[in-house]
Amino acid sequence: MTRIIQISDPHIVPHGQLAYGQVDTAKALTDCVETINRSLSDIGPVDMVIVAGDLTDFGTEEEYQRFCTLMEPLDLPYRAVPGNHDDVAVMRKCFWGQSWMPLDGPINWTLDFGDLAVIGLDSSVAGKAHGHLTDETLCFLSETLDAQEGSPTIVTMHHPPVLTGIEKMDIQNLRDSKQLKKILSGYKGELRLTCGHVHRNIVTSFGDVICQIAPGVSHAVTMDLRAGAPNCLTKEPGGFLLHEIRGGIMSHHILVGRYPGPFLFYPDK
Amino acid sequence: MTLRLTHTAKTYPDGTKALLPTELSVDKGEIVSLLGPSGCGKTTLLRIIAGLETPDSGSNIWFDDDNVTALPVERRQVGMVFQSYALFPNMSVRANIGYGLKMQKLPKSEIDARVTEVLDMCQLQPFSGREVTALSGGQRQRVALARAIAPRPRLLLLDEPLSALDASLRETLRDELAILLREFDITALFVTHDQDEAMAIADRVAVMSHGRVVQSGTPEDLYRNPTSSFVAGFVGNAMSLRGRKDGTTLHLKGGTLSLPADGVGQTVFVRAEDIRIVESGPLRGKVETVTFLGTHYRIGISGITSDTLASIHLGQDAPKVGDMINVSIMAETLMLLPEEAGAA
Repeated sequence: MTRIIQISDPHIVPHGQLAYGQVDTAKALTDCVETINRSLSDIGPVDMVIVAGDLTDFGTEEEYQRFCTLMEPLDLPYRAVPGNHDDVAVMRKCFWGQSWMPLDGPINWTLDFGDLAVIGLDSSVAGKAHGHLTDETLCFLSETLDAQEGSPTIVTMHHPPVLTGIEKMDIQNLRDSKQLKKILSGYKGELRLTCGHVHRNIVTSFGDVICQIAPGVSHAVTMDLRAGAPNCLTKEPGGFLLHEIRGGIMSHHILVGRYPGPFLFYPDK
Repeated sequence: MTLRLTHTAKTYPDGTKALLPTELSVDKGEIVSLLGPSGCGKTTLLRIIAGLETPDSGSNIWFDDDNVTALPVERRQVGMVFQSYALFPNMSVRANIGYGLKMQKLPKSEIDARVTEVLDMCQLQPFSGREVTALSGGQRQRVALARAIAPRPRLLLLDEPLSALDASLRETLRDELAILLREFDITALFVTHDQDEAMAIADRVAVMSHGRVVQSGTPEDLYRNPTSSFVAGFVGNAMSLRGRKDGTTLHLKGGTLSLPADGVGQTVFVRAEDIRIVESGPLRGKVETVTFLGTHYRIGISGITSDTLASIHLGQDAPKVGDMINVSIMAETLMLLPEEAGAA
């Protein structure tokens, strides 16, 4: 049975800095890697980790190198799609030669485990915060999905094509999503769309498919649904998703960090 | 396969008419270029044919006798080639070409046979085992094309495939692309904003402007017989001669010219190669610029009409900036085209 861990929005900054002057994102990623490694004996085996974008905060080479260094202790292979805080050219250079990184163009890839396939899509737009899928990416998606012939598939991109009610994030969601909806809704099998960007665990419908937004591994975007709410972060615990085939595609939400337990519910039995 | 579009249009919800009702057909094995400036509707047309855009009702797209208008993109069996080749660096040429076929879960023997076939066609056989990072730009383009045709698409669509390349490589790859597309013998539609590219690659060019095909013909036909000021200007940079028309006489700032026909209500165009610098001629102007281009000089001449005119000069030496020169233009080289409201 294939299992995939999805992490999102690490926002790594240069050594000695805090993201937004507030968050030690490197520590959060280190804790996340530690949590994943520690959990493997209970939840594994896991086949792959996918990073749903915003690996870095400013897309610099220094930040990517730091990201790679922080990910080194991870006991699993990983691959990534870019987010709006990434720079596709710098990211390509950093992951040059990795099996999933194309030589040029959008960072789109496929991973087929037989019982589950993952399609990673590049929704980033150079210099912009919102997302968009180019014709090339849409063609890649439709061709790749077609080849899956209805087998369970997860499509991952950074920008969600839905509105969450968090205004400051909604203005930079995935735009022009009509064609995406058509392609996904036409799939003759189980399909899950998973995104990042909002740093919150959110589940909704998008056309005929379930759209799941992954929590951030670090800080959260503040839960504030009022119109005109300010653009804020809250230092809630980070988390990640475990996707597995259990009847259908099942996604578990796991918190980063150590918590008291486990305790037997009935130690005397 | 023959591609045929009837009454195909696209109106956006805000009322923008991206494509006006268009008729277009591309014969089996024909290579047609959609040429026009950005916003002319060429990309919308390509997206409609690919299945990435839903056209207005009443539009019909035919692949031979199949009406594909309602078919989603993945059912149209269309091969697409984009600016980026999106090749995978750690895979061999063979594996890159076979990637799509492998995803389609074709039997290994079938994949091998098809990959070998396109490797031969693209003269990539000697490189089949190499990693794509070891290839030149031209070889990479061939791998990308080979990958696009390996699944045997009914139609090949190319979306500005050369526009990301630097100028020197672009010219080489353009000529190579023209040869390969003919080798494939596939019906192909090629979108570009670059007239040289369109002329070099296509059997036929459809020039688009403001959401419609304004003229379609062979590159020679478009160059020699444009039917509108737009096509005259866009294809081959014809220059307008602005002046007062009196029957078959054109009075310019720098002299008087005979027209091949009555010029009233027409705009008069001339091409740079038809402007001759002569000892004595009917027009007189001043040399503004002299550019040596190896095979010829390009001379900018002011004072003949309101804009500076360019002349292609083949002589061994050229006049100097500031010289007053005489110019002649043969009447039969002038193109008279209907005046267009708002045309420059």
